[in-house]
Amino acid sequence: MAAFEQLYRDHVGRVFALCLRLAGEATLAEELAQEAFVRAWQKLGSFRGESAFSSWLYSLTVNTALSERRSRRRRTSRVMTTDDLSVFDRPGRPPRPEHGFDLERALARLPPGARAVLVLHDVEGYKHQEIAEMTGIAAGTSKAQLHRARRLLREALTR
Amino acid sequence: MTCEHLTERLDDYLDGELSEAEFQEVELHLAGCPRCREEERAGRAVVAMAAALPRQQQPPRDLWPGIAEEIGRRRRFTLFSSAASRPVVWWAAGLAAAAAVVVAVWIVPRGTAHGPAVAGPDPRTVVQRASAGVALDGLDEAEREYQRATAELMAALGTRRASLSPETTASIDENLRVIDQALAEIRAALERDPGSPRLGRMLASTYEKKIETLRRVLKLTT
Amino acid sequence: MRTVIAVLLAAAPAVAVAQDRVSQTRPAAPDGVVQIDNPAGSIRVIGWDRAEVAVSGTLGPGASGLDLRGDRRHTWVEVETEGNPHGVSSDLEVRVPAGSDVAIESFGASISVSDVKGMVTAETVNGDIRVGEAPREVQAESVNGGVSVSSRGGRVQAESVNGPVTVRGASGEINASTVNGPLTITGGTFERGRLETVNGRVLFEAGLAARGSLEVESVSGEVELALPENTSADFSVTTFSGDIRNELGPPAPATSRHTTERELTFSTGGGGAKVTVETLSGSIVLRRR
Repeated sequence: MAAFEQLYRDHVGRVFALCLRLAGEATLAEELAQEAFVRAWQKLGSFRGESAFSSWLYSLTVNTALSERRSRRRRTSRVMTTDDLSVFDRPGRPPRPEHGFDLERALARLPPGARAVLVLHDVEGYKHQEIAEMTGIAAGTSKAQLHRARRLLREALTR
Repeated sequence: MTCEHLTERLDDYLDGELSEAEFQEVELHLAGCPRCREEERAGRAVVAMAAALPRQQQPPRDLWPGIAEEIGRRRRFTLFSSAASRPVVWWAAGLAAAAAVVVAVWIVPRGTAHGPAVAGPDPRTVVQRASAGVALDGLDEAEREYQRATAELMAALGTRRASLSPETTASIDENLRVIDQALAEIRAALERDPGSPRLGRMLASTYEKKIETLRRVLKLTT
Repeated sequence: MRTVIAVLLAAAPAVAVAQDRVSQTRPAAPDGVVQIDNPAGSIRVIGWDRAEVAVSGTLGPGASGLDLRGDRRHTWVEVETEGNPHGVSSDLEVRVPAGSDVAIESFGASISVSDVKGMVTAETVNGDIRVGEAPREVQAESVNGGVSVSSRGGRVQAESVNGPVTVRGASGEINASTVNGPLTITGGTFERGRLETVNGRVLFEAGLAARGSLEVESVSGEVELALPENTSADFSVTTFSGDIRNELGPPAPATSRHTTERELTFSTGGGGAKVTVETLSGSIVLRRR
């Protein structure tokens, strides 16, 4: 497993950042990241190397994060509010960006569906069709969620 | 165009998805409407900031121990559960034990602890699997373990390809091709002569060569 | 292999020197451990009778220095690089106390070791390895390069993937393996031998101790065993689809209707040593030296 541990160390930064933005909250993000790596290990036998390992892993991470969210929604109906955003305070990160606007924190406050689409589209660069395939929503819904997310962020920015 | 309309069209405008006609309409409105210009600026800022977010962040604590533990738990479950309908092949225990030895090969990382790199099997895993021999399905099971170990190593090597010269990667690929061909020959022979312990052993030791080659290159590349 | 990110010293020259000559010495115990790490180029290790490790040679461009450090029992010799080490080619000559154990790691360097009596471990990917003159134990592994060992005793483990493996004059125990390259063992007498290849040609032209054992396994490579006249051994020779030519005993039985597998079991000189050969499609030749 030493080789897999090396894979973990090489990619955990990216995987965790993705999970953190999709989850909006640190504890859940850690669980999602762990689950993503465990699934990657399980499916590693089927990775044939046609694409880069990183693309395969990140796609798997997105799927894990989104399906976890779906199953959690079924299990609990609590509304996720988050007050502990200290996880976004990275060492070396400027505490107050120029505008006084912290996009990460604003993202964490978005409704989950809109947040997921914004992260996938504007941060990760996936197209609506790809997002639709990954999340199981329609491409039109993906677009609507993106617009909703951006509008909420614009409002937060200009407040 | 009203300000409400513009708000609806703004994101498509920013993403370049408007028709020529609509695009002109938006530009026209923006030219004469400071409030909407403000919103357009905010819109661009949001998209730009999102795209500029750092894609990397280390988790607050090391997640590896939890991952390793979960993998170990799921792996033991797979190995120890046996479906009553699956046939038991007596020599498969030896094959899988051999697989376990290879898969469990660990490398003491050379980092702060100076010392020659040590490679050796984890004895606990070997004993675990050897005693689980009767429950195993045999060749398929062992082959899957080998394939998993190979995929693991190839993926790890893949992320280091950038630092290898094209000649080196070409020769590694060629070496692996020779081994894969041999594996195919052995499998073909197994089809004519299934259950042959000798062929099973030959398959295992050829897989081991593949893993050993990858492991060695990976170790010396790190 | 460690890549040490160089610390930029205030005293560093403003102009990088293309080829840096090095010459450093450290005291070392006569039977300590010396570890050498040079990503590419060449590494020549020579045993001598001084209680010192002396390094000389030239560092290639991209090398930021030579790190020679340790206590007397354990010495490290490492070429430091910035960034990708694989292109940094340095030629080192390292003199070590003859009784040392030596461990060498590289990616692209060719390695040669002589006059060292302790245990020698050498690993490289692209380079050749040559080890000579009686180390106690040798472990030499390359991927694309050849491995050549001439030794007078102890245990030898020699592996290459693509390159030839040649072992001359050794005795005791031999473990040798290739994937594609020829595997040649000549001279000496072995207590235990294990030779494995996938596609390479195996030639074993050496002797077996009275209760010794030799195991040879090949997928498609040919196997040729040339044994001394007076060998007393029990042979078990199997191939799935290859041929067997036996000059030491009876011919292989005809293949059966159902399988091309041939199995030959016989003894010479009353038996004692044990010889096992298994191939998939590689042909097998047993003859006298």
